[in-house]
Amino acid sequence: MIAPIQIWNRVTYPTINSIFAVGLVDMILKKFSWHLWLLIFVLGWSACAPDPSCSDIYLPYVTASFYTVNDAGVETVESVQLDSLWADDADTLLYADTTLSIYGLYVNPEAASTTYHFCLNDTCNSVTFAYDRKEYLISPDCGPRFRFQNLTTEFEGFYDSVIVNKPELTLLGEVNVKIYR
Amino acid sequence: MLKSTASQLLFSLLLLPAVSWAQDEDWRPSAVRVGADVFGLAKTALTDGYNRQEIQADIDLNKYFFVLDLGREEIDNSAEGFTHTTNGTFYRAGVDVNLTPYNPNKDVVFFGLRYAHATFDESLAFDYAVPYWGPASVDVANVGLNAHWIEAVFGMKVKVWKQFYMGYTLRGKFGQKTKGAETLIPYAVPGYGVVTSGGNFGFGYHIYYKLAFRDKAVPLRPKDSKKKLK
Repeated sequence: MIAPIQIWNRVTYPTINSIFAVGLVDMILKKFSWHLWLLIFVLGWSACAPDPSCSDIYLPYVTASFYTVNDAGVETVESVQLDSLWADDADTLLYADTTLSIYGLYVNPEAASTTYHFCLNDTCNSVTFAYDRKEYLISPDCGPRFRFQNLTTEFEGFYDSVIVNKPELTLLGEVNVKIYR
Repeated sequence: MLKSTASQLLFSLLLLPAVSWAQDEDWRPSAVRVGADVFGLAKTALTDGYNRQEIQADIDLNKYFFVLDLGREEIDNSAEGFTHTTNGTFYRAGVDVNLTPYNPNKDVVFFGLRYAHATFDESLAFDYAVPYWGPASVDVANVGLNAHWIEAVFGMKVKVWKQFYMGYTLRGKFGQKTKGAETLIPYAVPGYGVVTSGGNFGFGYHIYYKLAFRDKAVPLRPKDSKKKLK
């Protein structure tokens, strides 16, 4: 015996006039089938949306380079030897007996400024870096970070000048501070 | 630029009823439709640390609807090593244009604009260790922040049974500005979502109940009314 073919949109149900009736569900399914597909699409899309990258362009340190300027006004990066490099309020030296052309100077996140002392042959130059600290959440998966910006400097000692080249501490662009000797 | 264009659009949309007033049409409101966003409720039920309730009301004025949304949202993004919470309230107000004014069921396909505003608090606490300075912790908060933005919306409201309607709303959100933030950069705004440099996208699925004050005839299409006159 061949079973009767049941066509979806011709199915009938008993008792209609109740919000819980199967007939109402059937009617909603027919009338809103593409709504449901849209809902499924949106839910799927939001579930599959790529998570933001955890890579971060912001850095917790100032990059500082030393420069000399010749008579023609051309500046040249030069390596500088330091006996010690240390910050106020820190327990240890950041660098000892080092010769570098670029120094990475970690700023103190708990303070609005950090003063570093560049020492050679018992003589020290002091440079104070002042900055604004911001906090932000990259994403729930990546967690929070700091952002340091609006960098300004003051210096004491025999350096000719110290200028801010880039006031945001990021990976992008050149060094933050140029120190002229 | 984008914001000023959106403001002009919203202004134009608000002026449309006034411009069309002289025509011989029924401008008296006939019903208020109130609804709840079930998408937000479903997300609340399915997502840990998320809580959103949103209600909406609209009133008809010829082929336009004045719309008001009220909502509250709490988001807890805390994970290992940090806690981050955002909570606050928001509203949206604007006008929709009914693109299907001749529908015999009074189903509505609409396009509209909203001005949206949120008031919220946000907090972030975490432990960190910057090299050379060692471990420490930070606990910061923004209290009573204000944010506003513009939304372009598109959607539909379809009669399903007696006075009950269902429908969805797609939202394009842009021009978001936040005032009052201190050192903590806002991550998410209630009603807006995660703060991005561009715009944002939103979705709502609503169930409505229509409270009619009076019967209002569905207007005839212009060509049908001409036939009727003949």
